[in-house]
This record gives sequence, structure tokens and C-alpha cells, in this order.
Amino acid sequence: MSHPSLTPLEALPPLKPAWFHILLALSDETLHGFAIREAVERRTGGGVKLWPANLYGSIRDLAEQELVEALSEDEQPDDDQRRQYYRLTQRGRELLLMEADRLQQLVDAARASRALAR
Amino acid sequence: MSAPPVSVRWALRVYALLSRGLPRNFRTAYGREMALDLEAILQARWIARGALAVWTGALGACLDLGRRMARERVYRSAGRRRRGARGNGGRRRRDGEAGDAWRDAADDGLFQLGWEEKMRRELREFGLAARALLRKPGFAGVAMLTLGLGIGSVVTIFTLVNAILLQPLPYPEADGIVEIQHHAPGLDLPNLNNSAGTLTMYREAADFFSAVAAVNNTRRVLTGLDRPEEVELLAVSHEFFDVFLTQPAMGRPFGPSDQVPGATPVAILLWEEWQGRYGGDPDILGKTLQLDGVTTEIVGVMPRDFELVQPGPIALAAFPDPENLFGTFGTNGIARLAPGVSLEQAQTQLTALQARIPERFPDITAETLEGFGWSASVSTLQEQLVEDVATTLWLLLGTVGFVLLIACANVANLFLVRAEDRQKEIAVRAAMGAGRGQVAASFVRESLVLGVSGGVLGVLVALVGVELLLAFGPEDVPRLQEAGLTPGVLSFAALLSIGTGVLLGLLPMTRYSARSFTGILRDGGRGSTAGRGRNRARSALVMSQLALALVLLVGSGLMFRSFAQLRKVELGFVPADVLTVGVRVGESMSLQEAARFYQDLRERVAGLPGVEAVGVGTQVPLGSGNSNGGSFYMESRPRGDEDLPPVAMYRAASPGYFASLGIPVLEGRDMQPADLDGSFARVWVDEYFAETFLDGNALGERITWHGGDEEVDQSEWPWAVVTGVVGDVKQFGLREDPAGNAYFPLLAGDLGYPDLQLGFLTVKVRPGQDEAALTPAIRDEVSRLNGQVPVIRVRTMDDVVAAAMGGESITLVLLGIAAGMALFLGSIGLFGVISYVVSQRTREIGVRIALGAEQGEVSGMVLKQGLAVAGAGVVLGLAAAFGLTRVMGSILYEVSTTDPLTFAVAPILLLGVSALATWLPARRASRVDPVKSLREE
Repeated sequence: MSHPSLTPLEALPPLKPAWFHILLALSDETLHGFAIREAVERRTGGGVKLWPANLYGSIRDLAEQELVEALSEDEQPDDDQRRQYYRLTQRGRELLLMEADRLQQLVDAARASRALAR
Repeated sequence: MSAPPVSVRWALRVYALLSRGLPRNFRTAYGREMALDLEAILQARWIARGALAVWTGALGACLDLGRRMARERVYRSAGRRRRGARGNGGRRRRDGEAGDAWRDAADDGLFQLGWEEKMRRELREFGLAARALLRKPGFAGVAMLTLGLGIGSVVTIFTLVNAILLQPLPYPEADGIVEIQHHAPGLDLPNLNNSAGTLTMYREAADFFSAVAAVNNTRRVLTGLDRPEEVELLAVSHEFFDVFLTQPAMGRPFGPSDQVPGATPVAILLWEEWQGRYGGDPDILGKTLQLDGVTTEIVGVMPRDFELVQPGPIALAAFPDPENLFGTFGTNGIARLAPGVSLEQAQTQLTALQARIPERFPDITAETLEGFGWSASVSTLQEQLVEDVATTLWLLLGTVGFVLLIACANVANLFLVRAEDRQKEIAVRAAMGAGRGQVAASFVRESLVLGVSGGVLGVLVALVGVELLLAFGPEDVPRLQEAGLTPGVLSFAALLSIGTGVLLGLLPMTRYSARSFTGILRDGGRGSTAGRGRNRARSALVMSQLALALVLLVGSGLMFRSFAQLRKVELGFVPADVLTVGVRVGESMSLQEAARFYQDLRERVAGLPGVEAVGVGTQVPLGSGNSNGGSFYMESRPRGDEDLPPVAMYRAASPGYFASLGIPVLEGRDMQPADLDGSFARVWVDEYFAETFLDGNALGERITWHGGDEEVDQSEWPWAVVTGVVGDVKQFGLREDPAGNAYFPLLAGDLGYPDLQLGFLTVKVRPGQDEAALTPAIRDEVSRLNGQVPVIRVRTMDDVVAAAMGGESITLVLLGIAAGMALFLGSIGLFGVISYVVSQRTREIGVRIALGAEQGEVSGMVLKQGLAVAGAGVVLGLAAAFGLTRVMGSILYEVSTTDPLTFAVAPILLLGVSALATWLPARRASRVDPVKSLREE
């Protein structure tokens, strides 16, 4: 179902770091909020910390844009009933790829410039 | 998982409180998981890095929360705007339906910023500032802690000031309620209440009052329960309801007919009593209470929100309508100002009314009044209630204000250092075109974050502080129990934190005047020329800090001296190993029966194991009980017409009273059981009485308080013979001036004027034995003698004395804590500045040492610099202390506000601590290696 206020994918980048990291964390597995925080912290070596309000605010925004979705009750793993798990949607995966490409281009451009030439 | 540590629990509580600012649906969807996450995060931080990390973590989480709240607000209003826009023909903004709510694209500033956007930017700046602070956890932690303690102590005391002094009393139009007092300095009676006669006069003649009520606290024995119980009542006249503008919620108020002699005694219950003891019985009206054996009908229940300012009373009892006499000023007079009448007008008219006393009361002439130094005054009930504690409270608030100032000075110093570290950054910013305002804003943002987090910590400190004060504070402070962190107090805390934050942030900017601001850029942030001015600013800060600390040191020193003086006060009795037990026989016994009862009880208690001496008296020194007093007659010294009559207090006692309390019998003999047979009136007086009124020859003199009847021959007056002279005893308070006191035997011949409704056993036990352990045995003896008599107010004499010192010691402790904090913070400040100066001058010192300066010379030089700052602080502080300690005059006891000892010792202490704080950096300076210091340059 298409939400009336869904933004076209092309209009979304550049993504906020929090969005990017959450999407990235969910690209391999379904995770709950706290696990997303831990995954992001691990991946960035502690550089990006998603504090609760920002984390869940971002998850809410991502869900509204149908980039991630909450697992229904019978899909939820049994390990912790108090936690809600999320997965990446197809639309989310597309956006993640799009953003990764964009970043790749940026990095390439930087490499090519004389200032950063090795 | 084990229970989370305290810091985590508190942080979670604060977070939960703050998160109420999020929209409800957000909270419902994610609130629980957010709390779970934060708990896990903080727990992990605690295990890895301890409590400080918990708080920095909590701070980060709270800032994150704040950003989210602001964003949610923008989100929602953006949603509204979108809906509105679509309804308006669907005009769309550049970034489409999703709006700018969760996109930062608008940050490119290509179009005009709305307030929401500005707010977002500002919040992001705050986020950056917070992050910058978190990168310097040492600086941020120390600053936050210092501010937290400072703000916390101010908020704690302000909570008390607010509850006790500022909040209006909980009655409708409470500022119109006044208390009437009289003053007769000529009789040594600076404060008198009202007599039935004056109250009646005011009711009739004072149209500037709309109602005048008589109000008295009384205690009665409530029987008909499992065990008899002493209860407090407020006896009020029927005008009470007009003064307080409150009517009973059920039943009727009192009326004039309730107060005429022979009327059925009636009472109105307070709501809690009705709910508590009577379980809210709907048929309560018409039921009866047994008060002192008198059947009293319940005619009403006061509304739930009606509270009495002083705790205790359970009910209102109708006030008897006494004879219309001038004498006996034992009644509180409470009135309501007539509409439109100010307090000053009422005061003027009340004073004018006093001139009409002689025409109304024929036994009083204008000359007598003049001799009394007679006057009357009105003050608001609120002022009256808090009169005793107001000075102390304002003093404490001033004191903690000083502590906060000192704390701020410390943090300001930290900021100055930090500003120096940031010279380069500022230079770059200036180069990029940042104005003074923008640089100032960046400082202020940082200091605001610190101020506000200090404020949050301060509120936590205050939460604990208020609890401690409520638990350990004196019991008799009115309205103390109302103290709490109300929205008013929280707003005060918020203002205080924000104000502190802004001030701290602007301070470093004073160094960058418009001209020097461009200069920063030129000298690339080396700032070498500004060095001297900078150090001067910091030294000035430290100097004022030390001056403030000295004021507090002097203040607490004076308080300590006063306390020590009070400790030295001759009590006149020995409190150790003495238990006092109150027994109320009430009105159920005749005077003879009561005397018999006390005598029997005394004999039974004397037989208990471990008891050395037992007495009974109607009053315990420094404790509760009844004594009467007034002018008396001496047979050998008839009064002249012009003399003001001598005044003294008396109470009743039994044999053993003096012995059990360790009151020495100086002349004559001790009281003996035979003196109680009622056949011959005897009296014991104290030394002051004997010396002042009877020139030291008191034995055998005949005195009476009930003379003056001119129709009876003087020899027929009810005289009592002075049979002994005992030591002076502090009866009512440690600070009281000596005054004449007398003791009658329980049954003083056939006079029997001491009131025997309430008696106190004074039981002295063998040293080393626990006096309180006797209580159950004494209770048994009382109930064996009479099951209707309640045992009340069981206290050891040590507790009685401690309670009398209670107000003093809590003030002393609070002032002491404040002064200690001030000294500590001040010396830290000095240490910081001198250390910094030393580090700045390392090169110069290196050169000096290379040129042959001795170690001692170098450290002496640094020491001199430190002590110069401290010395200037001392001079300034002494001057301030001379001026400021004057406000303490009324709470000091036998210590001058310019007590030389205190004014000598406090500066020495301050200089000593300053020397220590300077010595450490001085020693480091003397060990500078010249080669190394030069190479480093």
C-alpha cells in the first residue's frame, strides 16, 4: 500500500547518518532497537551512538517512509517479548543501494582530486 | 540481573520524567523500549566506567530526548501545515509532501528560515556544544558537579523559604487575616496576647476588622477508646469561620449560643480526623466525644481542603464566652481586615482605640497604661507564624547564595582557561567572518548546557536535601512539612540554572572587546600580551571568592561561638538519667483527688527497680507543662501606689521533684510528704526570686499571687510561707533571662491554685541504666491506678534539652556545611589559578633558576603571589563580614556580631588553607628544570 506522503526514493538522499546506519544494520538480519544501536556502535567503532529518542524517532520515520517494517507478532523471535524487531523492506534495500552508490561516487571524486591523491 | 545502582535508578527516573514531553503516541509506541535501552546502556557504563559515566550518559540521553521533542513538535506542526496546504489548492513546497520535518535539506539556507527551522538549528548547535563538552569529561564533570552542588544548596533552602515564608497561607484571601498582639514593656512583658475583654472591645468598636475571633490551642483527654489518649484541639469562638472565610462541609458552624454558660459543649471535626478515626461515618453529626470526661456533641465536619497551619488539632471546640475583663492575656486574637482596609490603617486605628481602654475598664487608668508602656499591634497571621524562623531562613538563603557565587567563580575560572585553549579556534572563526555575537553565542551555549545540567543535578541534590531537612529539622517550625519541590521551586531552579549558564558564558567574552577581537586573529591566538590582564581577571575572581568564603567562615564561626555559649548555659538541673512522663488526669478529678493520685503514683514508681528519685511537677524545665504567673504580693513589703508590681511564675511540684532533677536546695529545707497534707500553705522560691524581691532573706516571708482584695484584711489574704530557696532553672528556653520562679506543693494549703490537670513524673534512675526502659512499667502503674488516665509525652531529659537546642544546632550545621564548602571551593580556585600561573611562567622561572636563583627564592616568589591574592581576599572579606554579620544579631546568644576571637581566627584559617593551596604549585615551580623548560619553548 502506498502512503499518500511517501517521498519518491530519488528525493531522499543524502541520508542522515542515523538513517543510513540503521538501514545498513538491518540489511543482514532482523534486529530490535537496542540491537540496532549495538550493531551500529560496533560497525563504527563507537563513533556513532544512537541514543534512544533519536533511534526510535528515526525508526518511526523510516517506517513511515516504508523503508523498514516491524515484524508481526508471530514472526517475532521468542528471545525477548518486550522488544519489537524490524526488517528492511524492498524499498529500503533499494534506497540503501542508491545511497551507497552515491557515497561511492563521492569517494571516487575525492580520490581523483589532487588534494587527496596518495 | 542485580538491582541497578542508585545513580542508574535516579537517571532513569529523571529520563522518565523528561520523556513526558514527547507526544503521547510516540511514547506509547516506543517509551518502554527506550527506557529498557537506556537502562542497559547506563548499566554497561556503570560497570565499565563508574557513576560519572552514568551521569554523562544520562546527560547525553536527555539532550537526545530534547532534540527529539523539538523535532516532534516541528513534525506535528509541519503535518498540520501540509494538511492546510493541500486544502488550499495543494500548493507544495520544494521538498514535497514529506515536508521539511525530517529532512535537513532546508539547512542549506537557500530560503528564508521559519522559526521552527531556526529552533532546529539552535538545538543542533546545543547538541554540538554538549558533544564538545562530553569530549572534555573532566572539565564538564567538575563544572557540572560544582554548579550542581551550588544550585542544589540554594534550591534546598529556597524550597523552605518558599513553603514557609512566600506561599500564602492556605485560606481564602489569606493576606487579610491578622493577629492582634499587645505589648507591655513596663511589665517586662514585651508580647502579650489578648484578653476576653480586649477582644470584646475590638468586636464592638473596631469597624476596621470585619471579624475578630478568639483562638486557643488546648489539649484534652479523649476517652471511650481502647486506651485514653491526649488530643489537641483548637478552641475557637464562632467568628472563626468569618475570619477564615470557611464553613463546615457538613453540619453547622458554631454560633453565639454555643458560647453562653451552660450550653451543650460542641465540637467540629477536622476532615482527616473524621476520615481516620471515624472512617468517614456519614451519621457522625449528633454523635458525641468524651473530652476530659465531658460529653461533647459533634455538630460539623470541616472541608477536606481546610488545613490548620500547625499540626496536631483534631477538632474545633466552641470557645467559652468568658467574663468581660481586661486581665489575663492568654488568648490568641485573630481578625480579618474589613474590605479596603490596609494593614497600616488597621494599625493606626488600633493604636487610637487603646486610648479608650480606661473608659471601658474602670480598674485601668491612663496612667497605669502609660506605666505598662502599653501598645497594640497587628501583623499578618503569616508573619506572626514564621516570625521566629524568618531571620534564620533568609540568613541561610544568603549563605547558600554565597556558596553558589563561589562555585560560579570556580567554574568561571575553568571557563577562562578553556577559552584560552580555544584561542586558535576562535581566531579561525573570526577569520571566517564570525562576529563577536556568534562567538559569544558559542560560549553561552556551552555554559548553558553546563548550567542546565548543573541545575538538573541541583534539583536532585535538593530532593535529597529537603528530605534530610524534613527528617532532621526541628519539629516546631511551622509549615515545614509543606516544603516540597513545587512547580514554583522548579521554575526558580530553572531560572537560576539558566541565569548561571548565561553569565558564565558571557564572562570569557569580556576579554574580547570589539577591538581586541580582531587582534586575536593578528597574533594567531598566541595571546601573549593579554596574559597579564587575563591573570588579573582570574586573580580578581579568586580574591572575591576568598572574600565570600571568609564572610561565611566568620558567620559560621559566630554561630559556633553562640552555640558554645548556649552549651555553657547553666541549666540549673541535671538532665542525665532522667525520664519525664506526662500523665493527664484532666478535669475528671478534683484538686484533692489529683494530688492524691500523683502522690500514689509517685510512691509506686519509686518502688520500681533502679529508680533513685521520683518527683511530680506540673512543668518540666525546657519541656512542656503548665505554669502560671503574674504579679504577686509580699506581706513585708506592701506596694506603693506608684510601684509597678513584681512579677513571677509559679508551678506545682511534689517532694522528690528537686532531687530527681538535681535542683539544689540552697536554703531552708526540701519539700516533704507532710507538706502535702493541705493544712498549711508553703512555697519554694528560686535564688533569683529571693535576691531580687526579698534581698536574699526569703525564708519565712509570706507571699501570695491572690491578694489585693481590699475588702479583706491583708492578714487574711491566702499567704504562703517561703520554706526553701532552690537554684535557678532555665524553665522555657536556653536564652531566657533569669526571672523569678516559685514552686508550690501539689496541694498548697487550701489555696490549690496550681492547675493539676496535667502532671509530669520526673524519674531519676541509677547511672548507666536505660531510663527509657522504665516506660512500660510506669504505664502499667498508671493504668493500675486509673484506667482512664493517659500516659503522654514520654521523653528523656537529655532529649528535652536537645530539642531546646534543636533550632540552634540545625542552623549551625547548615552554616558549617556552607562555610566548609565555601572554604573548599575557594581554596580549589586559588590552587587552580596559582598552578596555572606557574605553568605559564615555567620559562621565566627556568631562566631565573638558570641565572642562579635558589629553590627557596622561586617557591617564595610563587607563595608570595598566592598569599597576596589571599590577603586581598581577607581584607575585602573582613570588611564585608563586618557589614553583613550584623543581620545575625538576633540569633546570636551572648556573642557580639563583631566577636574579636571569631574575626581573628577565621582569617588565620583562610590564610592557612590558602598557603597550603599555593604551596603545592610553588613547590613544583622550584623544581623546574631550566634546561628542559627552555628547550620546550
